[in-house]
Amino acid sequence: MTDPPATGGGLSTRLLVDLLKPRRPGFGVFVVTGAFATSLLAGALAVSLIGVSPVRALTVLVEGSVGSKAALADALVFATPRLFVALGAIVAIRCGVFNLGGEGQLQVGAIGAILAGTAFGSLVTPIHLGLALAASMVFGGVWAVIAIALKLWRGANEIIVTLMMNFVAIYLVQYLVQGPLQPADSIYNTSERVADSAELPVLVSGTRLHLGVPLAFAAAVAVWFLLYRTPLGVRLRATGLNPRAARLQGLSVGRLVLASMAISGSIAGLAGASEVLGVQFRLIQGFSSNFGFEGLAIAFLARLEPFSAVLVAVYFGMVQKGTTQLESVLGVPSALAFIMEALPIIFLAGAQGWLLLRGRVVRA
Amino acid sequence: MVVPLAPLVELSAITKQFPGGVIANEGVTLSLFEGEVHALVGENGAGKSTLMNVLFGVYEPDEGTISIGGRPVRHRRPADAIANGIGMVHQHFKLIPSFTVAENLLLARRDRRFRLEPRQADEEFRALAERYGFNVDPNAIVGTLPLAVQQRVEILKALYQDARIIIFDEPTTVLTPAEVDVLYEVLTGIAGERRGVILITHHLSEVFRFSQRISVLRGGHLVGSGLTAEMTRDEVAELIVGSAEKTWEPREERAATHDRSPVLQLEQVTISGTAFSTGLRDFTLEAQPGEILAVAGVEGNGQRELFEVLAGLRAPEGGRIIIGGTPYASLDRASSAGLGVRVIPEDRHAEGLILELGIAENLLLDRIGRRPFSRWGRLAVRSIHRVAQQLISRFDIRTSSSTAPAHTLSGGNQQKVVVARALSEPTLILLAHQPTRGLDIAATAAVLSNVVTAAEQGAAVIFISSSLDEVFAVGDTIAVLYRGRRAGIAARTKTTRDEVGRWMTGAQQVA
Repeated sequence: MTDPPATGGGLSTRLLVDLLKPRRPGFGVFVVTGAFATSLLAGALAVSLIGVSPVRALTVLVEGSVGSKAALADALVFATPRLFVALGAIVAIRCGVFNLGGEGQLQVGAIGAILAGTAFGSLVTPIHLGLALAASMVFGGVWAVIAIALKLWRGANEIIVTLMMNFVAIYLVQYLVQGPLQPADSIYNTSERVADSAELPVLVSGTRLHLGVPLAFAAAVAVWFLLYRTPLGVRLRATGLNPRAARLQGLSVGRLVLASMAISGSIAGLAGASEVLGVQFRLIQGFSSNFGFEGLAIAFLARLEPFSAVLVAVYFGMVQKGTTQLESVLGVPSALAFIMEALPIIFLAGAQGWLLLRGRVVRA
Repeated sequence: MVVPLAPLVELSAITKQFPGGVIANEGVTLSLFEGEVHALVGENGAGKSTLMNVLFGVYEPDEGTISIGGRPVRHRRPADAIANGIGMVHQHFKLIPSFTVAENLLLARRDRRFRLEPRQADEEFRALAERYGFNVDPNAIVGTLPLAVQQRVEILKALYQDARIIIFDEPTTVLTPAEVDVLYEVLTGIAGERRGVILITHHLSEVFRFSQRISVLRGGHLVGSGLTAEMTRDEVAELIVGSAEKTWEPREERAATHDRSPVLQLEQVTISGTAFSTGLRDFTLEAQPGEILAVAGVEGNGQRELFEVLAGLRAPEGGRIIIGGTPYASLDRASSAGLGVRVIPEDRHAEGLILELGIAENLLLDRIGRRPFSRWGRLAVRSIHRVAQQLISRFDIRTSSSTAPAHTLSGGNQQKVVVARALSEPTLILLAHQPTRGLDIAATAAVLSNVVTAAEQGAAVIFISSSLDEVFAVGDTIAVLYRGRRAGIAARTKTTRDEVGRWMTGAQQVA
């Protein structure tokens, strides 16, 4: 294994790399507040353009997402897979590996969960569910490791490889549900239903709040602990911030990169498990509505901090839930959700790019 | 040759101070005349590059004026300097490697026409190339060309911009001896066309063969200037290194240690270089426990590769390394660290520290996974900060807290963190590469005294430096690197600054 070649030096990469560097605290608050305020304002503008009162829309949005137990539960359920992907991305990117393959790792993780969830008939719940979750982690982790192995041994750029492998995974799922995993008598492009004992149990009756939600929150704590309270975390962060210095201190940069990617992929795999074991109960073509990419957006908006990722993910969940409500009550297209999720990202990227260019120094 | 009355360029009393109080140039006055190759020489850090960057508009001087053809000018950015007819052939070429030669020249156009006229550019290029006898394909991708050819493209770029004053910064570092001769013919030709050339170089032989005038900078001051024909090599070498004003007391002479076997040997090590460094060729060296082996030399003569080979960052292409009697064809960094090879790298920001991490984490990064710093895979935060605090007071690192990020420290204190980390673990071999670069006098003294202490405690120290003051202050043995080879080696007490200076500048080759 050779040490990984440096990721390219283009402006976009520098933008990403720049995210790794902490800034003065005021900056983060300014950007995040600015980002979400812009998002809400643009949402208000968009609805008023189609003739709906923004105040009324906001009321429906808020009530629809947190106004009732069931609505709040839905918002949290929507947040869950996105949060898992974001946490996975955080682990890899903090180690300097730009894992843009959350979507693929999630898809493959879902395959693992479904295989384990349908293979054993019925078992005792903790064992069966544990097996299914573990399978999703292993599958997601292996999928991520393939990408990083290509980088370490063949010098392939991980940004491109992880991105391309997303499509491989999506088509793999499509193939499986139309072929090997499709029950013989079925006309639908889905797998068999998972055994009851492999489902993520509902925690509050009358809602869809399943065990995956607290698991995702626990994962955030675990990622924080890994990064800030373990020697592995210090080494991962050191490698991400300055691989040359880390290597000179005798750290095995290649091994650390491999480890971070394995962890990253297995957390993203859990995103797939939470969706197929907690919401869909089957593997369905297109079951992920862009969780992988939204998860990345959450990771960047959270400035790669696990606890901030929880907040941003819940915001995304609320927007998802709230805009569904807007569509059914006021007839506002739920595509509004895209606007409201995309704008903070554009704002963040803009602010970051502006700072990068302004802070440019002339070197002799 | 007719010496014209008015100089092409006149730099008068230029002073440039950098934040942090480093004075790079003080009251430097320099004139370049038409038709002349004017050599600007001096040690690393003497202020040559700063002076040329002032002329080229990269920096604005704090004091002093620039006039061109008798007319005062102000260069706020390189574009101003280029408009005033100044071209610079940088040591690190400023070309776009993925563009073709012709495209690179198009980029250099001074008029801002909207439409590119590739055919016209092509013709102009061919005419220029022909005039100077450059055989360069305009459609070749620059990155695929040999360095010597890339350099020609840089020169053509300056000529294409109709520069009357061309600055060459260390132009021969990347060239073979035959290419050097060709380059100097071109250079003399360019100067002959009513232009002037400023040549920054460390190679005195080239200075004496090709320049008409020499100016010597030392410590930011102009210490000598005159016609080349009226100066001697020894005179210039002495002006460069200065008289033996010692900033540090030299180490006391060590008792002879010939009975001890060397702990580190390099046998015939060969490794390829880069655009900025020559690599090593058949390089042989040995160091005993307790010995400080100072490796002197002008930067770019293989120091970087020597450091990389010894640290275990790169495997040599030939020869072997023997550590503690065991030969290694190559060594990775983790094993080398395991054997007790500690490093103080040249660039504390890029290699020494992780600036965003805390001081404690930086101090203990190489051992953070071991007891007492972690238990059962969990950081033992209290032990980390206790030990970090001990190191902070032992090495006199001035900081408010061991949790503060390393970038909050001053340069000297940052370097103390690097030194503290290297020397707080059992050290068999200490590898110090330009360990005092950019430090003030007090911090320099602190770093050097730590290096000496390490040797006294039995480490073999390889001390790579381009400062003769330091080399003579701490070295027991002084070896000189010149173009990747060992140009000379002697016990400190058996050599002189003049002799080492001659080895460094290639003025004298000794086996």
